[in-house]
Amino acid sequence: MGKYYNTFKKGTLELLFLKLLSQQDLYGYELASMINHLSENLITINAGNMYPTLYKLEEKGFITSYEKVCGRRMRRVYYKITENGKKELQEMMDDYQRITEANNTILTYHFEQEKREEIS
Amino acid sequence: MILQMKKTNYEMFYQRVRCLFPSIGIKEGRFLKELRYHLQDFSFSHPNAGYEEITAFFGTPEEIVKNYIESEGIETVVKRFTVRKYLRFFISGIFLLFFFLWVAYFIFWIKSYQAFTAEIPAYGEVTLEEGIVEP
Repeated sequence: MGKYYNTFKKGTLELLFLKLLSQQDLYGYELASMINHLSENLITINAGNMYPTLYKLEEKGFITSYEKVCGRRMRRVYYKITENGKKELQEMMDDYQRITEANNTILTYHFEQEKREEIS
Repeated sequence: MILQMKKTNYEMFYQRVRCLFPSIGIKEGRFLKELRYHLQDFSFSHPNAGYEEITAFFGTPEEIVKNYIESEGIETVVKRFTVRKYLRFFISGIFLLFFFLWVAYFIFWIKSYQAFTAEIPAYGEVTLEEGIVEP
């Protein structure tokens, strides 16, 4: 991955977590695996920044967590989105769309193209 | 219960991450617990994973701790660790103080006891004289 990979990834982690949690309750490993799978291994989630991000979302009241016993001796911590989290997700998605569109407009902009449009 | 992992690469990986934390408080404890669950889940899908395979998926222990500290905010973590260090000193100080007070009290009590026992006569002399006691 390029050197800007982490910078861009960091900015979208909260959005990605909230989006996936809005579909169903997930535990850490499941969340990381889903992101790996859906992004075709382009976005790899490191436990070192996944859990602190989840804790921050929990502190803000956007998600909650609960522990569940699975099988005989296995435990998992599930994360669940709250109503506040759903509202926040919508706001995040709107802002993300706007920023992406604006970025794309700037990134695909060519001075010559504008000149041609002005002439015609 | 915390996961019953065999002393395998998973356990070794977990121990390395744990050792890299300068101090383990509530937040770090929670993180380590969840990391353990995370490793446990990974171990089910990759039962014979080598250490390299684990680090390929999770990152190296150093990366995990570095990412953790970065995500939490370096200043916040440093502040938390410093507070914890002073708290540890304070609690150790209190314990030492209590210990010395207890020792001092014990010495005082021993000395008082010795002084008390020294003042009590250990034996007394009684003289009995023969004779008839008139009523």
